[in-house]
Amino acid sequence: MIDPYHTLFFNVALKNGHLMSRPRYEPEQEFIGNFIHELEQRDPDFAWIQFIFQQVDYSRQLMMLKNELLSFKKFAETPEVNGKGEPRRRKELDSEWYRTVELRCKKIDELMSSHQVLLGIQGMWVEKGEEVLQVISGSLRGSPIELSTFQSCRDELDSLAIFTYRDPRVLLELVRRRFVTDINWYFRKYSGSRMEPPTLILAAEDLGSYVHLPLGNITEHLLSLLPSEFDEEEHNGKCTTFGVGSGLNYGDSTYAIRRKEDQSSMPDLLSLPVVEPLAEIKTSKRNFHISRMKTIPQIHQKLDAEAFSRLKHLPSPYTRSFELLYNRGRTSLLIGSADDRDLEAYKRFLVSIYGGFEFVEESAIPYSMRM
Amino acid sequence: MLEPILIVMYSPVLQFFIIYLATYKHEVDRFLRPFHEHASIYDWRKVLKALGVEAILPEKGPEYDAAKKLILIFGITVILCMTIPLAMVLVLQKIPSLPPLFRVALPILSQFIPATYCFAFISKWYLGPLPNPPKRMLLRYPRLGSRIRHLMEDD
Repeated sequence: MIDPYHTLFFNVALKNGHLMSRPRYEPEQEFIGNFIHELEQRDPDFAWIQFIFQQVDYSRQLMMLKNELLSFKKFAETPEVNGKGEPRRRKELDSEWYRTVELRCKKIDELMSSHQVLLGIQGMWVEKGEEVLQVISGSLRGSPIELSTFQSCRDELDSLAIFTYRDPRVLLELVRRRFVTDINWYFRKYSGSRMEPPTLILAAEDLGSYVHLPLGNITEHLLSLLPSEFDEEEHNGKCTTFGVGSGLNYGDSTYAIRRKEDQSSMPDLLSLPVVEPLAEIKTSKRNFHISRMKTIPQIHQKLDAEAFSRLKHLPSPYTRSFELLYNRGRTSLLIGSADDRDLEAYKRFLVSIYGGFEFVEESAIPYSMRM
Repeated sequence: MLEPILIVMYSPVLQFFIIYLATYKHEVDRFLRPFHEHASIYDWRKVLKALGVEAILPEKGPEYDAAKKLILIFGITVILCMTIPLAMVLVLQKIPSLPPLFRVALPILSQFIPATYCFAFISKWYLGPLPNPPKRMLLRYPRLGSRIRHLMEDD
């Protein structure tokens, strides 16, 4: 049974809608590790977070925006003439909008000087019953999903914020891996009644701050990334146990050994009722190809600067996704692309940076989500 | 034939547009690009059908109470629209000594009451939150996100 009372959808966007802002997470390369750790602490019934990205070129719009800001600056600096013909200082000179024009122009220049990528962050959150009751009784427009890892991503201008929805149409967008690629309207409205663009424009080298594997010492503490030995698929009467986790491929770690010892005492990891689709699952007309990382390498050290800088080649002209699925205490990592050959190239690229993976095909609607 | 001044005096149409222009002045075309959520159980059924997934849904969704409130506001608007003009006609008949300016201004101003209710209903149900003022560095938060503008029913 799907309970809309327990289900929230969200996207992550700029809190104050400054298009040229490039929020980053510090320390570098720790975003995903800390995010999974936070998911484990919050422990929702189910969470699905998508990072969808694509190479774009918004240089023309950025240039127009810069011109608009410079025109405003010039206007503010031109004294106005009062009734007696005397020049007078404009009040715009005292505004925060004027004071930050140069910073914003500098940010625009930085974006224009590099390859740009659009990044959409969106997801679904199924809260545990008792927590939801508190949310429902509170303000609907409040921010019931508090994920400090996102909220810590900031720069001098803006920061990321979570926008929550109860609209189930977001589920369609998630399954179809759709994100907003046309943000021209937000450029036009920037100096007017601005709204945050639903996707972020980043420099290609910023993408590695969000799309990377869990690295460093924190991987020892990520209990939801079970060792690959547990990713088994069993069929047991009317219940099917799916191996949905992305096990850390590190069989000799103390954690892996401990998990092996505990294996006999562990109950079935996931017992999901089999739900037969009414018909063939309808995805978008353009199919999106998804693979789950069945095993991922456990890397204790962060990538060196050279390897990390290579992550700027992650985006391609095709839409790609990097997804986290958290289901009853287990995390899976998924990657996807709008093109099957591009997905293979995406996998090869990740392998060239991080080492060995094991991938398995995944359907557009992950097994663990078929409630 | 109805005189235009009578429409202004005894219906909240003009007052409604005045309130709209005053509140959505930074995004006058909002009625063309409204944004609001569709979160009823009916919407859930439509989405699950589009996905080809079978699921059991509860009878009432989380927006059920909000929908009841909207119906209440709409009901109040209709009642006010009908009763205020009648009350005004009666009041003006009872006080024949009222100066002519007041005889016109009073009904016009009183129509702001149903117009406000009607506007609250339309704003909540259709138009969406008030736009942000221009050239502000900080925007109100929490707020309804712009992602909702880009949700498509189905391909």
